[in-house]
Amino acid sequence: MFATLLAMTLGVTSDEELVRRFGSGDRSAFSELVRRYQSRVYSLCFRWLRDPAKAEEVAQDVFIALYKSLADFRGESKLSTWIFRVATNHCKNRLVYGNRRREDRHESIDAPVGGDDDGPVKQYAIDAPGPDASINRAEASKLLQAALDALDEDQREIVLLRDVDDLSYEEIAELLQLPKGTVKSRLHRARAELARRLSRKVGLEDVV
Amino acid sequence: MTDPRAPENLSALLDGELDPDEVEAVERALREDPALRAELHALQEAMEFTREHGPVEPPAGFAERLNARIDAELAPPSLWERLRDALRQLPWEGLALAAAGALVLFFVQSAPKQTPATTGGDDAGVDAVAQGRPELGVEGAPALAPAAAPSPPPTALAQGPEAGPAVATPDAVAQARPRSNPSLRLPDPAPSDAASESGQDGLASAELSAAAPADPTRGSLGAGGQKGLDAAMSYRLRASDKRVLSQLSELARLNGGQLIDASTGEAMDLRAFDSATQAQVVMRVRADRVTAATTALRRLGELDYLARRDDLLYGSGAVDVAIDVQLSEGSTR
Repeated sequence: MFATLLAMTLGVTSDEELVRRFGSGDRSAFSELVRRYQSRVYSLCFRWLRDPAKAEEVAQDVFIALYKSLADFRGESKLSTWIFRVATNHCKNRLVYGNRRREDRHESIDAPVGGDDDGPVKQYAIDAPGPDASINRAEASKLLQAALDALDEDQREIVLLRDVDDLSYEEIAELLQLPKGTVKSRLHRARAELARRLSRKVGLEDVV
Repeated sequence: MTDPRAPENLSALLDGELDPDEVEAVERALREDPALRAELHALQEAMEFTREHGPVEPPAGFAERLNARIDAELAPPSLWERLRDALRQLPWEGLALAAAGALVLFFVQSAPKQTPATTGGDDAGVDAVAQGRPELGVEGAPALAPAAAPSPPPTALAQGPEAGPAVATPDAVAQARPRSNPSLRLPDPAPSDAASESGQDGLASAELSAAAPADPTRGSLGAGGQKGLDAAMSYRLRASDKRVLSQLSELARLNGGQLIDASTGEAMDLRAFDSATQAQVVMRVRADRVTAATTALRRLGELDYLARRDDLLYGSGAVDVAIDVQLSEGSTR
């Protein structure tokens, strides 16, 4: 009973309260923040970096940066915005670093053959979707990754922040330092492009 | 209000980001325009597909590993660690030399004049170096092996578990002897290639030059262009996955060096081990970081965990450490 009440209490504890508790020496407050954000941060990292090991490493780097900075966090922006800004920057930096070291050479599933943007798309497992086609979750995840990879960086960034990390328009505007109207139009273009990429590969209604 | 047929309003409608008036206007436009409805449908499918399949759960143990990293990298040092650091600041070499001088002086003065001189003390010095080093505790590997043929050996004194501070280096002995007591009859120390070549604090180098490879086949692993340091230490680690290799690489980096693929002699590329079940790597670290690196390796072997960062930073020079990494079959990731 007590544990349930405690869990309920923790469930409604605001980020600001957890930051305050951490500042007064309560490390469990940090653990609660990790529990609260780990899935979203890891997902963001995974979708940027496409590699589980790198995603975990960078996600941990994000939380370590948070641990170092939390005591000085003054709440001028939302904690969630800060966390996802750091996560996004870490991922982008890692990609730049990886590209410099040629670590992250990969082949886009959706890349046109021969580099011609209008050329035929390479055909992988799901190349002939029809009414009876169905794909499993792992395939769907790969399919989504390929479509995300095909977006330009700004589009990928905004789709990930909105549809994977569930940030509001206001939070995204603050994080990216863009007017809300720009967020709205950029997100729309990104989703439209994503829809186009996905529909080329499979009928979404067939995904199970 | 913006044009209800403006495309961006469709996404905003799906996200609940429109005012009630805007919602009504967009919905009216949708009722009148089948193409707009189709566009909304496509957007909605893409959005739902992304929300359904975009999130990825972190691997099991993520929070535990994060906490361990925080403990290792950020937690304040314990009382014991602060004490140990303070002890490291003491002039151990000078104290050891003074103690050695006093001991030798005592024996010289107390020995009967007619007793013939013996040479047994030389071997004892080697043994002290070899035996004073505790087993490293890393799976399947001895720590330091005795020298193959150090002739004559460097003088060595009793030493603590961390070994470093109590070892009297040949250079230090050579420098201190005339000043401290001209009547001492210490053996001439063998020139230390490592110390003389690198010009560094000879502590770690002296330890290594007094040791020989535990496995002669490892001799070529640790060359690294530093004569006298070849495979002076070897470890055998059992890696459950490629993460351990990453940790070794990080460990080498934190100790001013890098991890080297023993088969190519080049900086290790982790991807090269994707299909391997066994790998031989050389961890190159700064010479004065050998003790810290050893501690880190022990923790890595025993706890599968990287050492504290504050163990790992300072000094100059380089030493190669041969590492035999056993990757479990099919466990790479």
